[in-house]
Amino acid sequence: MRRLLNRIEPAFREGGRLSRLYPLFHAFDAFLLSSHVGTQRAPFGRDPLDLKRLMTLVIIAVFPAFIASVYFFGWRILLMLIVSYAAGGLVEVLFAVLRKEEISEGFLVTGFLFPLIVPPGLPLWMVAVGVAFGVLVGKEVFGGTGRNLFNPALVGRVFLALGYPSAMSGNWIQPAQGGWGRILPGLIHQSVDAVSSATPLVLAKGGTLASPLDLFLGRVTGSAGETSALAILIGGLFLVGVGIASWRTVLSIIVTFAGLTAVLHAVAPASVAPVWFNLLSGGFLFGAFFMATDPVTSPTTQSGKWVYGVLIGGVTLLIRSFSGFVEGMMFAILFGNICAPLIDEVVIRSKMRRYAHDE
Amino acid sequence: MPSLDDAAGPRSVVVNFVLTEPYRARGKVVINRSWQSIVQGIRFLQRLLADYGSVEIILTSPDDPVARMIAADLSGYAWVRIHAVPLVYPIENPRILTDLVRAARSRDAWVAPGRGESGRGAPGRDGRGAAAPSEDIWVVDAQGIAAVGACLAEGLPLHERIVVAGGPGTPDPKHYAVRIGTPLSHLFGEPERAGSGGGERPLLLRGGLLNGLPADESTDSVGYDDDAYFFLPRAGRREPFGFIRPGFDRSSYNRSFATQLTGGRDRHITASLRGERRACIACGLCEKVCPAGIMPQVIHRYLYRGLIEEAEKAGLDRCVECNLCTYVCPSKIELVEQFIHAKLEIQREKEEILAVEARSRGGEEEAT
Repeated sequence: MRRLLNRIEPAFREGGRLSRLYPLFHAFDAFLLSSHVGTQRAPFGRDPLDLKRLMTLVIIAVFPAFIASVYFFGWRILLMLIVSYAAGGLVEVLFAVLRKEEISEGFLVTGFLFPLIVPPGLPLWMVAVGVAFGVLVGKEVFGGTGRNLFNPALVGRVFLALGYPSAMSGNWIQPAQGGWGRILPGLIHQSVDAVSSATPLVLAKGGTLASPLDLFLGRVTGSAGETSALAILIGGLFLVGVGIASWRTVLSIIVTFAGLTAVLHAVAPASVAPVWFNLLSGGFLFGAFFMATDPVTSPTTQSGKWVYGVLIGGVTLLIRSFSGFVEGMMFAILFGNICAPLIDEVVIRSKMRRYAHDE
Repeated sequence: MPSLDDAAGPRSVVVNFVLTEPYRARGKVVINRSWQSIVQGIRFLQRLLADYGSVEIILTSPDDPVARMIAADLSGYAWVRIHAVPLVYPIENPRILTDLVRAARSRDAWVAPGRGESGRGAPGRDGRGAAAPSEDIWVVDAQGIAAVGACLAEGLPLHERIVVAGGPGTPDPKHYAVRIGTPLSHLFGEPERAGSGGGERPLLLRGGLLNGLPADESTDSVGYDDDAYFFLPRAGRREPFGFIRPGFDRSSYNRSFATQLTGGRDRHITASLRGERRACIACGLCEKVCPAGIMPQVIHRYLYRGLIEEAEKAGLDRCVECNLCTYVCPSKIELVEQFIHAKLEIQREKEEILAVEARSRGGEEEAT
């Protein structure tokens, strides 16, 4: 492998035939073999954690939710994932080549998350358009991974939700019921009919609640990866456990959301569903564990993360219960993203004032 | 540092026995070898102290053997105070130690903190300000105090250092007592010989893991303040799919490697970044490790955008340059280097302003 890479490297180097595509080669090279750039300054030894590992761990954490989505909705999800990687990767590579920068691992996470937050029956071209828009407008125009204001996957989803509202609220697939789900049968007959049966949240507006067990396992309609609370909890707790997702963010979102739901359900049971239902339904858990915890778009200060979580938890419930939208997680996280720099600013200013006072 | 002709002695002398940076000489070894000199040295310190001054002894635990030995040997001296500190890097940093001592003293004396003393960041913080000469605090380590004792009690010059050779690339890790000036090649063998073992010679650092700087084995010799030589292997072979390995052989500040469960040591560390340089993703690890309580990621962002004044307000000059943030950064950003650069820039600007002011004042005097 090393020899192969060494042989093709000159073509991508300065003056080589494909020198413009060097970022692509570099990313591929660094993907296959770990990088070993020597240190020039103290400390000469460094912590082994790098962004590649960080992003890989996020993908590993989302994997249970991906498996669950394939189980319930069929192998079509894998197809959507491939399309998402292809379209999102194209935009990422294009910008890396134009900017002569290295390709960032960030899009691997965006591309993995995106198919899981759209309806499983969504036409493939829409997946491509959505993820491309998300990476382009959500990330690249801000300067790439690390500089973006909004979660790119959510920007793509918002774009689709506003541009193709009927496709985004209709292409649900009835989840599989059998023991093997759609993993084995799906291999035999590929096509699964998209049905437009309503999601548990829509039904809840009409007063019927799905069963808790179905919600917990994910045997309900909904966006591909968000239905199975079990799979999300497995991956999400892993992500918090390894210290990548901030426990402050997750905890404050869940506590605020559950607390507010409990209070409002007691006051207005007609418009607010019970706590267990609100926690398990829709994209709440998926958003809390995987979308809101994106370090780039959440506040960078530790105390800011508490405020951010409270904001998201509260706004989600308010949108869900008292607006025309059935699901509020997406808008709440984007709202949190907008507020994140502001929250940071307040935290930093208060710290600065303390410093000034000390002196 | 106080100037030499400063008549007033220090308010406090901090004698620190705790070195927490990985791969530094152990205080215990120094204490075992030169206990008598250390006690003598501490006794002599009293004569240097300003009125009501104190000697603050930094140890890991108030009832460890050393504390008991000190209590036995120095009992009855009101000016000796013992502080127990946690074994957390960078507790040996002089700025951290002086803050600790100041805080302890203001607790004792019921002085309102921050007022009446020159807090850090104030112009006279390192004793140069004429307003508070008795605020000087000297920090000396175990080997330093032993040298003071040996010099004043026995008339010995500063001639010996206790050094340790450590690190994953060390052929033979142990403590040595060596004469200052011994060529490193005498200690560790000729580089050619060491290199013949196969592969590239490890990088030799003077100091520990976090602050050590490269030394040249063939030309350098033991310096008067050396206490550790750290052998760090060079970046080795590139591993296939390194990012997804469970990592039983590497440990991280973050909990994302298998050693978190097995408790293994970092046998994989090399003189490499172990990753690629990326933009800051605001993960906040640097904020968690920072002993000065500042937010390196915020200062980095200000400096990245060229907002040097904002960076200053965000506590840039509180940075003690311990290198922890640079060590943990998953984006491999050279944070401390950037901060040192910015500090120098600020200092230069201030000096320029002073020079301009002085010149304009001189001009006015001439005019009158």
